[in-house]
Amino acid sequence: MKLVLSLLFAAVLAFADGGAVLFRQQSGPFLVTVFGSPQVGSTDFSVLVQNASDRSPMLDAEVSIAVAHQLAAATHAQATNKLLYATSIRFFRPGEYSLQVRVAQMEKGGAYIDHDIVVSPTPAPWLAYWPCFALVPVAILLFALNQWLKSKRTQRPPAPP
Amino acid sequence: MNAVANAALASWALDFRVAAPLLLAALVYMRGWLRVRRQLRDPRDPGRLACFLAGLAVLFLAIESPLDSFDHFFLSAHMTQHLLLMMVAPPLLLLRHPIVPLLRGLPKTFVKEGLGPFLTWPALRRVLRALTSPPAAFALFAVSTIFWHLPAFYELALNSSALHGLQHACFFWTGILFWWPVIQPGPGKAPYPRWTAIPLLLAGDLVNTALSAFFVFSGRVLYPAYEIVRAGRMSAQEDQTLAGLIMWVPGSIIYLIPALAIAVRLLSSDRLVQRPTRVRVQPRPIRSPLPIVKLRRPAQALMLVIALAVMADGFFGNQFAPLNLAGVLPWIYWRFLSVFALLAIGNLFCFACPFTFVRDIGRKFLPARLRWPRALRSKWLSIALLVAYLWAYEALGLWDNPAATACLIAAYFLSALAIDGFFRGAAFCKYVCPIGQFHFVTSLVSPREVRIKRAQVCQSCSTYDCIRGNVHSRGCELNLFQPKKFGNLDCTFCLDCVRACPHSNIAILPSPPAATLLADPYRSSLGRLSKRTDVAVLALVIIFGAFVNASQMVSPVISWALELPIALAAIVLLLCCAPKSFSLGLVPLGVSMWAAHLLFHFAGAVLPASVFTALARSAQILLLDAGLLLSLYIGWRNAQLYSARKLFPAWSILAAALYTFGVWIFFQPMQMRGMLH
Ligand code: SF4
Ligand code: SF4
Repeated sequence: MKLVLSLLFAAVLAFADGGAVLFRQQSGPFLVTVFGSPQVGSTDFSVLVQNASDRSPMLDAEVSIAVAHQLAAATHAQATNKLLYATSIRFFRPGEYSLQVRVAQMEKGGAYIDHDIVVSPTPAPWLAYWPCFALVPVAILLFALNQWLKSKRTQRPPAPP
Repeated sequence: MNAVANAALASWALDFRVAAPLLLAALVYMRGWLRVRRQLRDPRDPGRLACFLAGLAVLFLAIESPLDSFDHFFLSAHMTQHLLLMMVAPPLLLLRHPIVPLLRGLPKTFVKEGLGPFLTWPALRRVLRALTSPPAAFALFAVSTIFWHLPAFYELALNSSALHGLQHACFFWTGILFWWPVIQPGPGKAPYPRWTAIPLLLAGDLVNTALSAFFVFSGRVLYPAYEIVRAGRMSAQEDQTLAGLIMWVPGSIIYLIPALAIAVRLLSSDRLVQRPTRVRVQPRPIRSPLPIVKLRRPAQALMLVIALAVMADGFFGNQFAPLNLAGVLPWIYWRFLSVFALLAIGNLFCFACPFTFVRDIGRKFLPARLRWPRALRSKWLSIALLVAYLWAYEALGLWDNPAATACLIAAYFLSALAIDGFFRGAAFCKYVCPIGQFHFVTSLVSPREVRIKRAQVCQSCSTYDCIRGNVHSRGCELNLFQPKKFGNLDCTFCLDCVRACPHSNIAILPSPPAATLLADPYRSSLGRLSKRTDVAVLALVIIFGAFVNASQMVSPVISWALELPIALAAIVLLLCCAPKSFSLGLVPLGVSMWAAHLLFHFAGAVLPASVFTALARSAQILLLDAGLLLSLYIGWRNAQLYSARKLFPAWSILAAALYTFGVWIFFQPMQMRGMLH
């Protein structure tokens, strides 16, 4: 059951790939681009690993992200865009963090990138659900308009014969 | 195919927030199309359906396919996406007059009462006519196309998912406006001549050509974002040229071919349009009893087997609740599934009730002749049992105690057997069973009910087998006489009446959720609900029980000592100050709270954690939204019905307070009861 549902929702499981480009850096034979919008709570990071010489994407690397005392393997399975490696990291406090990306590939060897990122505070949790909350006032407004139109229709004098 | 191409083709987004509305639109259209097809002489019009579904498929392709995943990397992918949104999906959706099937696919009452006033509102019609006039449609389309392709705005959209969504919405909706005067999908006669579509299409092509040429010949990269992030060997400049060519060649074809076709059609002599002929719809013959009738016994037998397995595991299995069937099946799965079945169809748990199955077997040996005492012919006993059940669930930790759960189920079987083995009718269901009462009240918002198909058939009926019974089946044991039955209250969906009616005049028919709460007619075996204090109290216990029950699982836990007096005071106040029907008006809100709460536990058990976090809270809020809106509507109608307009503001504040409390609960960390994590 769990497997079927996992497959069914595999798409939702996949991370939103990206957000803004956080940084792009060359290290050894790799050109690494990291995407994300870090904020307190769970943040998705996506990594694009390219061959520095011809910029072709490398799909058989092993990528991991270390930040805020957490280490997470980034994989294609967790990404919507299968050229990227994605993972999710949970931040508990806003502020400046050092983010390390490790890339390893059989033929080209490994690379290590260290970059500072800024984690912003999360907006109030209910703000993230504003479309759900907006539904009620919108529906009430439409209903009020509906009733006003109906009352106008009943007040209208009958058309002359 | 190389690895990069494989990875690209596997990059589908499949977001349920996009897929669900598209699927809903497809279902509504198909329902309407089937209805329209029945009315037209030509029974086949597959082209019409195919066009609309193809339009939705293109929309899906544009927003969810690898095109969307790659729009940050390749301008060519992004331009293909825009082309589909502006030039392919809108005309496909508008072709072959989609409005009539769309309206026919929606519930009749909603179209008439809900949409009707808007559709006939002269001001709105004037605005729509102005927006779809060729000059305005072209101006909006051209401005939106040019504006969003200006480098500053394009890059802004690329860096913000909200703006990116807005950009796509602008393209799609201005696309609809642009293609509207070209296709003239009606209904009714178009207010501008057909030839106006030709200059409109040519002007559209002009804008498209200018933009494409700019991409191809500008000689510099217009959008620096594509220089920073490249995911392939193609340079940003080459990608831009490709994007320009995609817009130019297929884009021009899309504008010029319809322009040519319209010109040829206008110039040809044969311009007679064959209108489809309406035929009189024959009333549908009364069908024989539903096949679902035959499913009842197997469903009950299956539930009995499950109940026996739960009891066996509860008594003899591992007493750690998450590893015991009695700790998981009844409290996580069964509660959720029965409430969602109620919201989707009707009272399916009572339909498949294992307790009445055993009772029916027992009745073959037991007399079942006594009459249920008159003093107990109300809901008071079941209310007391329901309160005891809600209390025991929390205070005795039933959810964490498999042996106690098994005892409860065994007690249920014995009580059903003992009461209905000696008393006539379904006294246990009607006057005792707290689960049944919960389902009866909840099924007031079900979208289906067991009722008669045609009143005239009952008027000429002389046997009244639906209540008296006959050789084929017993009559309604709950004493619900079909011609006077109104709503689902007290109906167990047993379908005995369906089997018994010699005229096959009873079926499970659609009825708008909670519609039966909008009036207060005499109801068979119940009387007028406005006179039934016991029914009002039952409903209030279920409504407030939903909030009290959920709040016991959050941290900070609110103590019973504080909550119970507030809930009791609210119940007493409601009963004393407002007509009883006002209490029933809160049923949708209470049901939505139960559904949202049970959904949380069910989703937590079956979904992976990341999916669960993303979906559960939105779904919970949406359920509460629906409950609040429906409750407010019923309250408003009741205020008119009972000339109690002054009561409505206070009553709606109570509903809003309950809603806010519910939302607050869902934003607190909630115990995942009965689970390992
Ligand atoms: S037996 Fe059938 S036809 Fe007769 S009253 Fe009942 S529902 Fe109507
Ligand atoms: S009306 Fe009576 S007989 Fe018919 S389904 Fe409901 S409870 Fe059963």
